[in-house]
Amino acid sequence: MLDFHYTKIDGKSAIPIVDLYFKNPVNFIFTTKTDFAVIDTGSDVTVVSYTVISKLRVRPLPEPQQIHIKGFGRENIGIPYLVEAGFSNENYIYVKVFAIPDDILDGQVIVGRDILNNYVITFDDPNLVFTISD
Amino acid sequence: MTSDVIQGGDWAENIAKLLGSHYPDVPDKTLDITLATCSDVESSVDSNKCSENHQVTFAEIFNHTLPSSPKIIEFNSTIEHIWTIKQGTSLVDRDDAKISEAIFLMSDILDIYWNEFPTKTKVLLLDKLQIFNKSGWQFMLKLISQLPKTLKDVSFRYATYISEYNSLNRSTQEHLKQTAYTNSTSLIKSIWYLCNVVRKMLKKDGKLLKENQANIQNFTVDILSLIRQNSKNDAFQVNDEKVIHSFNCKGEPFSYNIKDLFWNPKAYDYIKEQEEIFGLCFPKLIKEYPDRYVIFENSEVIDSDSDEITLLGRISKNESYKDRPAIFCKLVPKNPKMNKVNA
Repeated sequence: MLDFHYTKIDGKSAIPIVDLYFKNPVNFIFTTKTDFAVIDTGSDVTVVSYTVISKLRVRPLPEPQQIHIKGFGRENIGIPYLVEAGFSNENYIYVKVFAIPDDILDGQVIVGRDILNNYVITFDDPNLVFTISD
Repeated sequence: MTSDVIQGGDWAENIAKLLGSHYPDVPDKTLDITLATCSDVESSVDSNKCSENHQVTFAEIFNHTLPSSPKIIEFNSTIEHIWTIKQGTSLVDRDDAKISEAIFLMSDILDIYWNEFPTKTKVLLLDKLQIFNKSGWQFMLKLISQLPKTLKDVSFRYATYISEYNSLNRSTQEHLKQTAYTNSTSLIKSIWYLCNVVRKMLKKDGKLLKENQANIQNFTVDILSLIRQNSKNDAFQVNDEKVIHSFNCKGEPFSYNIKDLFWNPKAYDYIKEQEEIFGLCFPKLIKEYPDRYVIFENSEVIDSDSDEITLLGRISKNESYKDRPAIFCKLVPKNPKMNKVNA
């Protein structure tokens, strides 16, 4: 079980942010990690910056999709890629992530339900902590 | 029938040009085309009835055929409202959801009752659809372009009504298909293809009956394939030709091209190529792999599974597949729903 604290950014309300590890499913030499992965239970899919994809050198999938990011009306096209992802560098799962330009996400990763549904996540909002377990 | 020229503005002219460039054998004015269609109807069915067609409302047609119900009454008022929408009105000002709902409702009603309609009712309804194309042609096409998902469904359903396609001789069918396959690159042209089928069908003998389930199935698969092929590269086309306008993380305007999101240019070309082949193989795929994800390459299915992630995980471990620049994994839709139509 992994314990995390909520993170407060720029005076806004605290949000659940975690480290997220990625690796190339075919060639494990290519790995990367982000320390700004936002848990977003309202997101169907996981969205990453293009930089993550270019570091992993993973293979894309067909059917780019419209992604709504940061508010209604802000539509972007995301390219699907197959990666392995995990909250620790020991346990990974296969997942289809969507890549959009770095300028839009500013280095963030939006962790959607396609990843979250593989874990038991408990939010303790009053104490600003949350846990993730397999 | 009047011969007034419909004032559709630049948009109508663009559509006319588009149609004209791909169908040089038809008049270059949209209205001329639709008027010609109406003339076909007029010459092929009872002339007295036809002269009245334009005065016949949907409500009147249905009232003579179907028991009245609140749903049908509501449908009538909605569809008649659509009929009367003035051209040139911005779609933004309209209740698109209501319009879509009416179109779906119309499709549903036709699905359910089509076989029960007398021949003349069918003629009237098809003629009404043509009139819809006449008085709302620009609107219809704009709706198609703005609501592609809706239109795919509408065109699919519309296609199922036109089972007489199979009464055309083989060479005509092939010609129609080839024309559509080679010339069509958009949904608009798919719809135009369907309308052309109707035109030719009506021109042939004026009969609108004698369908059977197998023919409808074949036709719908053809049309699905066509629509699929036409829309196969929608996302790519949009981004090939246009820049995506968005906002960056600071809220400032930011634009980019989809190609910028492929670190390997070969992957982009590979997916585009396979999309095209996938479209050509669609009729076969929909029969053999309905509702399954397939790993597809050069007309062959390498692997398939009902779960996408399971399939992707499996193919990633496949040594012989590792050198591909991209993974072409796609869901083959279920077989089209068959209507309750008997021979």
